[in-house]
Amino acid sequence: MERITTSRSTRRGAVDKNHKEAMLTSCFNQYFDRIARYIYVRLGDKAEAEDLASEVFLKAYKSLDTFKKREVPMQAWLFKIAHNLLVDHHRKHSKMKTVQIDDKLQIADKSDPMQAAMANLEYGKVLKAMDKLTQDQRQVVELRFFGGLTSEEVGNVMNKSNGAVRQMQSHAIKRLRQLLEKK
Amino acid sequence: MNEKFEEILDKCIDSINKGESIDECLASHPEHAGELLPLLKTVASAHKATQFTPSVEKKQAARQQLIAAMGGVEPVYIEKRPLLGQHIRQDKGMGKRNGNGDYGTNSSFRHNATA
Repeated sequence: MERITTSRSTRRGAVDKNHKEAMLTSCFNQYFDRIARYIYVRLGDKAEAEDLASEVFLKAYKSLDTFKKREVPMQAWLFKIAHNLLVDHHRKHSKMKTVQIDDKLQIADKSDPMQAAMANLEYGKVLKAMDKLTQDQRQVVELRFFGGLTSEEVGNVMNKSNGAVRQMQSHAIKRLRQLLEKK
Repeated sequence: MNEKFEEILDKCIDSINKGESIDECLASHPEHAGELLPLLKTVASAHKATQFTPSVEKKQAARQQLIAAMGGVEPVYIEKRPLLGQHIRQDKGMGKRNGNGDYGTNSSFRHNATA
């Protein structure tokens, strides 16, 4: 009987693991770009954003045993990992908050130099405005606009209620509007 | 700004995230169009200014790294199968058979179990 129980739990464990691995690869296809973009907005460096996004999935795979799908959707869990990696990156480099926006602008891979310059300008303006938001407001904007998460998923990442996220979101947009309209 | 407006704004941002235009959002909420327009324009311009898509090569390399970490084989989803004990308990609970002499919802399990 004991052997049967062991074999059942082994099979259940293997199915769970397989299921989570399949979920992770599916999330990779769906969320890699968004996670890379979320990181890019924080770092302002495309190559670093791509590398860190790749690290997010490797780290997620290593911690797959700790993921409980009933508690939080996998995409929210992945963004949580991305956030933690960004915090670690910040600790290591201690320059995330003081990103040299003007030095880091890299959208210059457009064929039209004028268009590239305008894009850089707009990007810089948005980053500077984002820096003036509170930390929570900024995180809501990043996860919601750039990560493409729903407000419920953002709540899962930030441990906030859906209503609190919506409130922070509308305050953040109003503030961004004021800042972006300033000449 | 009241709670209802925040909910509407939230729905509009969901729509924009899915690729809908500002005009489509406004058309769905004409009573709030005046308030929504400047806020949605801000969202759209922030979206536009921070557009970034990772390179295909980098994405492919990251995917290969992930699959390699998983043992080199891409996982295929295996449907969970109830254990035999659970099957019997479910059957007891079902009680009545349907017109086909089957227990209805459990039939798909039986198919899996004998596969």
